Amino acid sequence: MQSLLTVVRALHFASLFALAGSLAFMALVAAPAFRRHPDAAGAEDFRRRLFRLAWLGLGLGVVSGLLWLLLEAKSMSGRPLADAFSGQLLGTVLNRTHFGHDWELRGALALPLVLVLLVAARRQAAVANAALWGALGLSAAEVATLAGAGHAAAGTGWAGSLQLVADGTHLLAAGAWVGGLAPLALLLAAARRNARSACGRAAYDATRRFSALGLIAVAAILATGLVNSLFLVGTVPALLGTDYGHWLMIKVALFAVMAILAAINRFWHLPQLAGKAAPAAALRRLQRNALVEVGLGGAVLLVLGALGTMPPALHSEPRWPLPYRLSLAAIEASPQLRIEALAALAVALLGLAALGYALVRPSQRMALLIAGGFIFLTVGWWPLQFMLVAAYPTSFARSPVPFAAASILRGARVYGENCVACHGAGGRGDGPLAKGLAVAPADLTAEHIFGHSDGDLFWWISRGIPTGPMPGFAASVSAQGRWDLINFIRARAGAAQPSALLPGVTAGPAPLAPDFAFERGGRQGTLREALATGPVLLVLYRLPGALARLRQLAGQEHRLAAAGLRLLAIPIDPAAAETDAAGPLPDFAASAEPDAAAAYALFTGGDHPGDCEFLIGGAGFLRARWRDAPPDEAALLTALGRLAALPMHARPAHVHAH
Amino acid sequence: MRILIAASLLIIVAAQAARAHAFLDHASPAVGSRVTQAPAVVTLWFTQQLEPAFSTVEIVDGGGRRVDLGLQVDATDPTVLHVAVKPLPPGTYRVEWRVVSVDTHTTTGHFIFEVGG
Ligand code: HEC
Ligand SMILES: [Cu+2]
Repeated sequence: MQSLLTVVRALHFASLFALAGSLAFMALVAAPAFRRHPDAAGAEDFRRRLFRLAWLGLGLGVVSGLLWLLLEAKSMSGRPLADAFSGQLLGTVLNRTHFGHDWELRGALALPLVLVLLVAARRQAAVANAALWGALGLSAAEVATLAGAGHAAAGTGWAGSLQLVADGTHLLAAGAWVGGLAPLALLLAAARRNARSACGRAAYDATRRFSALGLIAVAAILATGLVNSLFLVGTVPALLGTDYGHWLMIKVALFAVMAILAAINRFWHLPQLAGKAAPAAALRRLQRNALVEVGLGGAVLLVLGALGTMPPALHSEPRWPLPYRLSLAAIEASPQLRIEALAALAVALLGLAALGYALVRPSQRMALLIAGGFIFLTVGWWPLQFMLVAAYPTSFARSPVPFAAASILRGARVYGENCVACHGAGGRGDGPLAKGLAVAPADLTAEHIFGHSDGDLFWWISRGIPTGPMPGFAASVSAQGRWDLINFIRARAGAAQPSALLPGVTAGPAPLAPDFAFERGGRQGTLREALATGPVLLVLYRLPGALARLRQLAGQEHRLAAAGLRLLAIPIDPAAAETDAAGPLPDFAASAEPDAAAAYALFTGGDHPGDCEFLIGGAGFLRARWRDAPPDEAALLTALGRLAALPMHARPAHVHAH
Repeated sequence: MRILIAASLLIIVAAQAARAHAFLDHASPAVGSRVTQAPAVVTLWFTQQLEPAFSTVEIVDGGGRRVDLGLQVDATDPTVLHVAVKPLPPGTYRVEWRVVSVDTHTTTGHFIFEVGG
């Protein structure tokens, strides 16, 4: 089904490219060339063939378009294909989906297109010429609207518009170039048939024009392709480590071969046609290359058809294929390394410049090539070695399990069952078995935990660390359990940082606040949603002692809100809270899921049973904590001011190598 | 170096602005959470605009009985679905969603939430 959709999409794109490409070739390339050589034999014959190609594109476009609609109706509805023939389902697709609207637009454009194409093909001179331009405009619109049927349709806001424009331009440029290759081959064939007339000269002219058009198209394809890739792939791991990324690289490689063939045509074979009589051999080679490019273009379209049905790389789990990755952490952490790296970079660039110079200046080319290459490789390697860190297939995996209270508690349970023996109950690497091990268990509360990506930790916990006694748990703990473990380890390590959780905002690294669900005045929400509007003061309270504090906060709520701070209070003991409530609580008091208070016990300090207040920044970090003496209004406002002045970077990178 | 970092940040930011294929971003009641008060409406936030005509959400209780009453796209935000539910007694509920994003791709998923007594 997916492969059928791929083929139909590719066929539809190819048909519309052939249609728009041959009209563009006619209007922009062949017609001006034949105008300059009115005595060229075979011009009329070529024109007829070109229109036949355009009609073929239009016909195949209609057929493949209908097939596409049926297949999408089946795919979107999840119903059998037979149902897609029912008017009702098709009506829903056409009237109530973006794809349907976009499809209808193309269908509506097809009717006037048939009319102008009829005029352009039949009539002579002025009317036909105007009709040709009209047909070109309509077919270009058909191609551009294909952008609305792909991934680009999903963007929103300015980014979405940029993506649509980029994708539309990409398609137009590709249509003009790839769609023009078959007409070019036809024209070269005509020139070979009429070798003795001025047709050869006209072919020379036309090929030159087409090369210029191709150059513009290739530049546009590259620029817009880059924009599309940033949106749909975005990162190097996504490019190297996903199916989408791999197919995209195949597409780019095919495109590169096409561009190289086009360059060979332009700079190698074409100049041989410049003479009075067109040499038959050069014409043959030009035609052969054009046909090979047509084949490659077809392959590119198949890949494009497949890419459109795949989840974009950005949304797939990348599997990192290399044993190393680049990390700026080491360079960032040491100012001296940074200076040395910059110096090395400068020298390496000098080497690169020498290489470039050697290419344009032939004198002493060999010596320059060798010297430049040597400098570039040796000096360039030097800063690189500090940036290479070990990497694993899951290094760039994103955790599918959000950093939330329930997950952290599940992780704590799994930790208790599997890890305490070595890493110790508190995670400090001091479990009962630790003494007997050849390599000491890592301190899982130390800062270096934050130097590792989630994906690295996941790999070690799953597969173990081969150089020491750390075992793998892929067989005994589920994948979700392992992600829960990572959430738990990060929460505990965050709370253990000496610079964290002070009674006032500091610039130091701060732990991430676990998300949780709560309910307030009959409405449900999560901490994350609450943070979307700005910082939150989270109050963990125990009744009846905290009643006075809650009332005090209620009195300040209005002014704090004006300063941008929201209040949220949850009971430490949810069961007791209901029975102990003496009178109504302020409306910022919520009942939270039971796991919330239990998970936040990690941050209140286990030995602290009483009330605790956290200032959580809009980015979701626990920026300050008050345990024994709650902050007065002035202290809260000061803390808010500091919070606003903090730099964007929440947590500096840490160096850690194994 | 700064520029390099800034550029890579830009890529990440730009990349996140674009979405394709709709995935569940979050939900209320939250995924996997336990709530004390039964919700009248279950809300799902997706990462992308949806085709309401072909998107479905089914909610079943522990015994496999349907408890959802009807699905509605948020009036202002086409990435949000509201599902009205019958009064929910304490228990575990499973939410099965199948959504079609505006770029025609279908994604499915499920999660549970608990209503506590
Ligand atoms: C048999 C003892 C043992 C058990 C059980 C054990 N570990 Fe380890 N773990 C180690 C040792 C030893 C190291 C240090 C390995 C090294 O550096 O080569 C380590 C290292 C790690 C690291 C790497 C930390 C870093 O930053 O270097 C993580 C993460 C980790 N363990 C997590 C866990 C988790 C989670 C569990 C339970 C599921 C667990 N370990 C169970 C012995 C153990
Ligand atoms: Cu480490």
